[in-house]
Amino acid sequence: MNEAMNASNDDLDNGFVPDNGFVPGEGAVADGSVNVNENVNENGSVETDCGAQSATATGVATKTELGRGLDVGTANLVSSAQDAEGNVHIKIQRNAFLDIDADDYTKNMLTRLNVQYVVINGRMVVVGDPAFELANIFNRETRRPMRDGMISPDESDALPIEKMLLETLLGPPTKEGEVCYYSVPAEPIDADLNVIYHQGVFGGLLKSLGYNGKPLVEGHAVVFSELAEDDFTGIGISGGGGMFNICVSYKSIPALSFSTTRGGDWIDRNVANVLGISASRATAIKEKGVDITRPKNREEEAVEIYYRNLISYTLTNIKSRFESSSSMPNFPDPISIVCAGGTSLIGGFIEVFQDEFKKINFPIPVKEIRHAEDPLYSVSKGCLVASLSEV
Amino acid sequence: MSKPLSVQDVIRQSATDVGLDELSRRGCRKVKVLDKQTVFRLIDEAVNRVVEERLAAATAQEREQIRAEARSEFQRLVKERQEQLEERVQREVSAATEEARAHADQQVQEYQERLAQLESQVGQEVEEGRVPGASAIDPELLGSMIREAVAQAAPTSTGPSADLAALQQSIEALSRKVSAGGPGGSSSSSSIEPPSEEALQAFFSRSSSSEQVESNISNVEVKNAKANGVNKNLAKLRSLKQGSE
Repeated sequence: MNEAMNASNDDLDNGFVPDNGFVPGEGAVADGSVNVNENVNENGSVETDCGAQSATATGVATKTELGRGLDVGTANLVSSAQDAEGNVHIKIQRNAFLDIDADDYTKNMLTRLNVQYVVINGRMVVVGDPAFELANIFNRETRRPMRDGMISPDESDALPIEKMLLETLLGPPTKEGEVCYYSVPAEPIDADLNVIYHQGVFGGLLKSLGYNGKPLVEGHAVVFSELAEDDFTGIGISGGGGMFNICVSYKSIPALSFSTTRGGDWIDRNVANVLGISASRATAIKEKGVDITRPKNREEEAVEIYYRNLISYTLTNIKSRFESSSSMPNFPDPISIVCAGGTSLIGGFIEVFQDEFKKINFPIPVKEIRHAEDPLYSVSKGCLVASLSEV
Repeated sequence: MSKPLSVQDVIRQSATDVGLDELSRRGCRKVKVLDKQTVFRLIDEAVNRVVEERLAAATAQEREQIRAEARSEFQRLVKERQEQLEERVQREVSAATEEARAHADQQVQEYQERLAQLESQVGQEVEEGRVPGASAIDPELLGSMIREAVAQAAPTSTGPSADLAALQQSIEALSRKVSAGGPGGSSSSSSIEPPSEEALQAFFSRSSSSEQVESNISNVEVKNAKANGVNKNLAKLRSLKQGSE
């Protein structure tokens, strides 16, 4: 075991850490943009009412620690902050919008119904969860600022919408330059997508809101939030709407990170195709409480088939990456695999995952395959851990 | 040197045209006919015989003079034909070159107009934030890139087709540079330069100052939740950090 540990540490010294990875002990508060000694009490918390975001949400003044987490997902945007008592406050917005006809009556009605809208270039746009609900009612497709885990090149309104959604989730920073780690996809292995541009756009958006945005690979965020008891060693998987992100970590350092461009949207598209319905409707079917180990009708069977295929595809890719990577550490003990993300929320996900896992000859011993504690918030919480660790 | 003798002309000038009726009236029933080749052959034989007799009788000095005159005349004729040929070729080449250059100039002009149009269009789209990767593209920078590309492809002495090829290459290189700012613009994402912080900030400051957005977002409650704390994770990570230091 010690030999294995030593060999692994040698590997670490040889610098196999990906550029995007967060490395403990390196660069923490390196830019010194947050002066934590001013107006900050002993435990690093600051007296604040959380700005507009908390005032509208709870109306209660709270103390929040410096540092925010933000999961930039294709389907959902999730922010997190920790108060002085150690509670994590989550805010979530569906990352979608929908054009509707604009008139004063509609505007007033939407405000009374607590539906968010913006008027962009003379067009009225409903954003967040209501956009999804309205799309289902009228059997329309929502417009999505992101596609395949990244900012969508097809949506000209994507950036202003994203900026507004981030404003509602984060509000102003407690201090100018407050650190906010935000999730970014790892390099996809099955598509030629520009991660760097996406990363730069969200870094810029956060900067424009007064935050010091720092990217964190999504799978690595899962490791930070879910694998503390394993010394941050194991495999973190984030199953999102646009992608599956995978990170193999050894003592908090990512040894292998990659993504695939199949996620919840891929299932929705395929289910919609075979059932002849809209993708939004397929999403609703998927989210209404299906158990993929016990499909009850044709619709649920379609969902089960594509889920199984997606999980098999992901596991096969992990295995092949393991076998082809030259910088893989020698894990001294069997590791854990943790699944997070909205796509993993469906009933029976872990059972089907374990089932598919048995079908492949995985190259390293695995002690358990389990769900994240808060699958939907796991990435955001991992980003929060990274931010708080810099204070 | 005297003008060369044209046997055909001499015969034509010396001969008289007489109609068949006139010959008949004169009582000529038959005429002897010599065809042109036969006449030439007879003349050649006669001339050769005379020349041989003369040469045999000529002194060495006279022979040398004849040889020199013949050589000189031959060279004059060769030179004259060569000049005529060169002049004709020059004329044809010049006309073709002029036509090709006019065509090339027209194409260069069209490319420059197209580039100016694209520059303006891209600049406008960058301004309006409608271009993926726009934040990474400074219109001024793009403009200078285009001008540089056109300047690099300026007409050269190597000819119009080379100019065109150079311009084409520059435009293609420029196109690659511009498209590399957006997704799929390159075969490898690792070769794409990340947008600079300055470019992003400039873009967002422009978009925020120019847009008056009507919204009720600040009046609407966002979905909230509470999650389990992360202090345990934080403590573990910090201890790991300290251990590694």
